[in-house]
Amino acid sequence: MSCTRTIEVHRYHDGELPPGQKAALEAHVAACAECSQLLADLRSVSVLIRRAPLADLPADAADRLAQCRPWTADAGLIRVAGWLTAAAAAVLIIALLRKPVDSSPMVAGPALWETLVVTPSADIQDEAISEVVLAKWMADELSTERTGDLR
Amino acid sequence: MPDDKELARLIRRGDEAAFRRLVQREAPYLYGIARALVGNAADAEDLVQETFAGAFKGRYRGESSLRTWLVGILVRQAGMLRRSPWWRRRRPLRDHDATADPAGKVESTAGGDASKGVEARLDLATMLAALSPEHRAVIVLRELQGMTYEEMAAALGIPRGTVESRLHRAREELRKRYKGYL
Repeated sequence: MSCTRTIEVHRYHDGELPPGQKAALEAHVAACAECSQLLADLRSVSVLIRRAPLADLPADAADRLAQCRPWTADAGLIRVAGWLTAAAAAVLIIALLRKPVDSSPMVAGPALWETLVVTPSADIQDEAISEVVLAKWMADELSTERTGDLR
Repeated sequence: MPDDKELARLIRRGDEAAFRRLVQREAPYLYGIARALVGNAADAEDLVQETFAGAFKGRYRGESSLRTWLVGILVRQAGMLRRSPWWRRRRPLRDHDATADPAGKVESTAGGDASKGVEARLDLATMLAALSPEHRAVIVLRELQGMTYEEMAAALGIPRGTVESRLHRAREELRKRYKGYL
């Protein structure tokens, strides 16, 4: 095969060649023996395939296929999924009911010393909060947290 | 008789009679295509069954005929089957039993081409047995379902260029092999 336009011939045969290129290809095919033969063969191959008889469905296979019930398998899956969902919900409810009541807030706010360090107000700065007092508060906070961790 | 869309809708709602109607109407055709794709009877039957199961789960939008939509599912199922390790292991035992089966015969009918006297008609499974599984798939989708390159690319999950090159190679192979029938 030497002609460089055979791909276009396939596209033309399949109706995939853009309309603007059709006339030019038809003119080429009329002049090119190779492409002319290719197009004739492609048409013949298509006819041969379309006319080819299909294998017969055996009677026993037809019976088996007639018995298949795709929704039965799905219904089973849906039923199992329903059971699993119900079981998961029950476990969650029990877990919530058995959880000990915790009075402490979920997210602790900043400790007083943290607030003071980052937002020193004028009156505090003026008055009693010295660096020594801040350090003591920090030490107290940290020791409380450690004790809590160990508990 | 419900149209394709109505039939698909009834099946999705679990209408057993509608499903039976679909099986009765389409199973023989799908089986013939499946035999051409995978070669042997057992795999072909499995494929058709999987196709009907896939049709029940999938959503038919009416963009093509129900048959074309089913063939698309069938071809994808054949691809999945081919890639399964189980099938690869058993391939030497299962691949193309066309020659040992009535599907492998050449049908001869009187009339037809006067120059030959008798028109020899190859069955589809025999014709496509010469091709690789990938090439069989594109031939089925293009020649029997009339899909465009884009539709084939979407159905097979491959680029359009790959569709084209497979189609061209498959046809060249058929052209060479069946020169005497053209």
